[in-house]
Amino acid sequence: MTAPMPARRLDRLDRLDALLGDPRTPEGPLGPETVVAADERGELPAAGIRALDAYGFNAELLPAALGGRFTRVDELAEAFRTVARRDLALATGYGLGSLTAALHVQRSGDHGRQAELAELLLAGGRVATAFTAPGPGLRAAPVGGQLLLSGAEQLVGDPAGADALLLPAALDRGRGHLLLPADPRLIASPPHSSTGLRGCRFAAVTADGLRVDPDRLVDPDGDGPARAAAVGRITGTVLGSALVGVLDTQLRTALGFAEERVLYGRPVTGLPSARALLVDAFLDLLIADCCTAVAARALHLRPGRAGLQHAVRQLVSGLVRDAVHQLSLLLGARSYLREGPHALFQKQSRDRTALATLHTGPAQPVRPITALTDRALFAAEPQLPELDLERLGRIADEPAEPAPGIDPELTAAHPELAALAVSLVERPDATGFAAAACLQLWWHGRPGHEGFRAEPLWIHAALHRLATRAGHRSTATRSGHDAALLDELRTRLAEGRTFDLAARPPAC
Amino acid sequence: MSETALDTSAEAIADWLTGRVAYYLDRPAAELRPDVKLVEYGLDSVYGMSIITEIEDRFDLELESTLAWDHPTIAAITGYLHTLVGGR
Amino acid sequence: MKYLPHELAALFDRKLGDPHDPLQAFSFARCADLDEREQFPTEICRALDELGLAQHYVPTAHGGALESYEELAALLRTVARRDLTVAIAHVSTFLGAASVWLAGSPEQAGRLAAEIRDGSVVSLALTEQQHGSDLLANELATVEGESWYRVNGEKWLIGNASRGQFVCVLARTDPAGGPRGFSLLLVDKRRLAPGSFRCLPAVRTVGIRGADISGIAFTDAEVPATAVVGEPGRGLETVLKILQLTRSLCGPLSLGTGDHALRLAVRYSLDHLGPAEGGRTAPRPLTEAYTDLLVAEAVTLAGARSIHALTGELSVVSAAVKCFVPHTVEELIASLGSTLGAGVFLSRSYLHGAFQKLERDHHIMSIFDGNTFVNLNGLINQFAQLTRGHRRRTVDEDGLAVAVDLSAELPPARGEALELLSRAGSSLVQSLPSALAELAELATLRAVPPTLGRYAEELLQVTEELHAAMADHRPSARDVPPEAFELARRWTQVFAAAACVQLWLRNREAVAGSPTAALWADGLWLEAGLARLLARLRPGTLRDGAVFDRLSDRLLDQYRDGELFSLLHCRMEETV
Repeated sequence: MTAPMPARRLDRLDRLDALLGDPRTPEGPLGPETVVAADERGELPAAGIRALDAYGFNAELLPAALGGRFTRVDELAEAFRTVARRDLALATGYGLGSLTAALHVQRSGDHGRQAELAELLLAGGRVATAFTAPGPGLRAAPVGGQLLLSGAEQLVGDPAGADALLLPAALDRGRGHLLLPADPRLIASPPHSSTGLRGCRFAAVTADGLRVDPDRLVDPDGDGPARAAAVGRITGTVLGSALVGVLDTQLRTALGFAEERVLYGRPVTGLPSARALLVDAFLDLLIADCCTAVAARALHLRPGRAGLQHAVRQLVSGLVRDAVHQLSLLLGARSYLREGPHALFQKQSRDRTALATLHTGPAQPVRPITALTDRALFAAEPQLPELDLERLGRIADEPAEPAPGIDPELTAAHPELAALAVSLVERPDATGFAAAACLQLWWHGRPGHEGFRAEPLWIHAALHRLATRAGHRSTATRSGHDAALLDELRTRLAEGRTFDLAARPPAC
Repeated sequence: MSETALDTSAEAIADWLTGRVAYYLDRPAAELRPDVKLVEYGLDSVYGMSIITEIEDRFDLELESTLAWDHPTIAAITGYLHTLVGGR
Repeated sequence: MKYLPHELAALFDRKLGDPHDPLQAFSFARCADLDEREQFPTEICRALDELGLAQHYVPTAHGGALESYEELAALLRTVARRDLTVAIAHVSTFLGAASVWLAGSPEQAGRLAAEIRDGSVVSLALTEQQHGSDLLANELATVEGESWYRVNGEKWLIGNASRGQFVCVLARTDPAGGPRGFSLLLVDKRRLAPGSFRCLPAVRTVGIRGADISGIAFTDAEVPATAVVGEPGRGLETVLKILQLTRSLCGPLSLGTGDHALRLAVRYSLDHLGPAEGGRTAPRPLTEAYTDLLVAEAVTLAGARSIHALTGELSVVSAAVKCFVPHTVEELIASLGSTLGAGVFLSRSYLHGAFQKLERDHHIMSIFDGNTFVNLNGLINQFAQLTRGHRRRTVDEDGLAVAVDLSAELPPARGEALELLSRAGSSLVQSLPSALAELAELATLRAVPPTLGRYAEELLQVTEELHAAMADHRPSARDVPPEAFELARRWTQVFAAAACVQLWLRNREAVAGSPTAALWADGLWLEAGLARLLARLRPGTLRDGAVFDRLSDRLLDQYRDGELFSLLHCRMEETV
């Protein structure tokens, strides 16, 4: 059985885009000033919440098997990116908890909880979930046919505003998760005054001997961590895609600033180093876009390759972090001000930092990832098999393919590109994977696309960018591509198109 | 430094200097006029002081790094240099 | 060996009391609270004044206690390790006054010294809203009378512009502008006619939220002609020279913040993560961060001592310090942040949310006081001097010896020896080839591990390649190519390597028997530091990381003993 082709996918994204409004206009529900002001108040922008309600964003989070619209991770990732481009806190605060809960409950196979959750989400409710934080956590002890819940979770997304909570707890054997309706006896602390994602209102939740029915436990087998791992591979990929949206906004803000600001007698974009910095951020964005796209598809096509999503997560968060840092140097003091026309930059930066800690966790060494050969991973309009949550949760990683598979036709047509990608494959991180992902997405994506996406300009530059990051001394001079790529950026800025491969125009 | 005697006439200094400024600005020497401020040609006055090292090397001098601030045209620098090395 | 600046700093830190004790004036709890409420740390600054910190901003020649910038650096580091906001808010007076020490008349300096002794705050006002780092485009201008200047215009994003009694303003005194068209005016706000100036509202910032970052607008504000600092028309030159001092002092500010970050990370790791898998060593991200901090310290020490010992080279030294140290600490904080995870980042429940605060605070370091581009550009403009110096192996042997021998007595700082360009290049970098030969020789003699011999070879190759590329750089007045910035960045890393090698070579015997001797034995910290630097200079080469595990005990010892994370012993007032 395969997931349905995304025939209506673009329509859906267009509708979402239209409801969220043009992010450039102050009047829209998610104009920069609105988003910054909400963050200052420690809230999510109310107009943004209304727009997501009107769109039925919750249905995007609920698996189709439970009555929602979620079938494909790549589509879900695009939806998150569309929201995150305006406000990362909104994407996270509105969607992440409910998505996590929906996936977890689906995986549990508990029909009662599934029905309850589906009803709650389709009625516009929200589920709060916990993130790893110091402290002993909650414990659920069986007492007289019930579970006695005690302890505290330190980092729960807006527990006071949620309709239900999915909370991890230590069991007599193993660990599990409880799906609990909002309950005043689950005491939420005042929101932590956090530095980023402030609107998500993270708070501690304490239970002091709260009795709950044992059927609230969605992993009675104590296998909660494995399920959480499967869910984490999906949410991590979705958030990686959201980070691409954040970089889009940061690059847009910095480019707008650099075009207007006059330094040393000319606009900042007149300085070659500033142009290079902007172009590098553009390339990093395209690379991150390719990596998250392939990681999302691989969840369907290669569920056994657990290391892949992990490696992509590290690579993408590193790319976005470094690019945002560079852009902050370009913006200078404007990147540090919580007021004025560029204040959205610092807001998205703080959110990004906060999200990175939420979704990276302790750094783990990355095994080398060689390229993948499946055509479907790189096809322009791929057919994807249905998501197999059970296989996604198996911890053991399948061995990687022995050799990088660059399409022989591609190698023949563009030997220098293929050689560059192959030279990166042995890197002890995901660089080789990133090179292969970019190159093959470009190659297979050409039919049906015209213009920028199909032309070799960006892929040349992106591979050189990856090589430079990997420490290869660049042989090519960059001046050639900088001007053309900056022109592309300027055009997209003027037309309000996104900076990712899709170059989506603003919705009307 | 070359062992052959250096022509330190004002004219030779001006020719050489015009050539170097033209190189830094990446434009033909013939376009440069001795009495126009270097800043107006776009020779960044705060940071564009690299030329001082070349002058020092050529004439075996130690110069103030603010030379071009106090002598802002090719003619002014030439005049100043000539007073220092013209008698050699 | 006793490292005296650390002795002074330790005494100072002890007098400030335990920062973990919320009842102390300068406690972590209070800093967190002030940050939350965006309030100026008035009482903390008063406590620092009472302990005489401001006296260290005033040269001994004018009755103050500033004899050694190395001491000032050590003091600023201990203040920053408690709170960067406070350090930045307080050190502003040094920024404001430095021009007067350098270029002002003895009477002007004497009066300002007396004011600072009585608690006055001085502010340095350079930037304007529309012009940022482009100082020559500044518009604030004066009209000159017989014995007065009338000031019109606005300065923006100025530390302590509102709180300061004095503002040292860079003003266009020649309408035509140009490098000789600006002068510094020491404006006593209390003597301005009412209505002739107004302080602009505090700007809301991401970090250092409690600091007074505001601005000041003048409308026909009349100041006496005696307000000019030094000769009229010399303002820009003076500013560019004092920035060399303040940029060197950014090193200790970043180091102190990095110390705080690492201390929190070690604490969290011991409390919550347990020992790393398969051993008793601290997790690799912690030992790597420790290494980075030690390397940054080596750069900072060499930088602060160079103010006295290699004054004429400070234009390149200070640019290297300002680029390398804040960048290293910024990356260190980011790396520790992802190691610690969201619990530490997103909540104030853990240690007053100190980590998230210092992360926000520290972002300012790569932005203010000359951003990274300005500093790298400053180096690019001196490629000619740097490559010439490298080619000729020019080394100021006496100056270098004092700069890197931590037991050597520093000569008095001579402001008049500051130069806008370093004629001699960098003695530290230009002595690197011979220092590396010395290191390789020690490796051959098995006095240090063979790895260090290999690193020496690698570094020599990197240094030669880099200078060859720098020599190939075509100087350009306007269009500096991006590749040149990359070369300048690499040069700062080679500078850091040179600081490490020289410091290790010249002090390894003196530290024997001192509490940090184990860090120096067998070139331990040097091997770790060079491994980290080479990882950046030559990414893609796999190097053995076991050396970081060998640093684990040193890291944990310094943590448990409440010592600064440092190459040299410094006991702080710190409960563990």
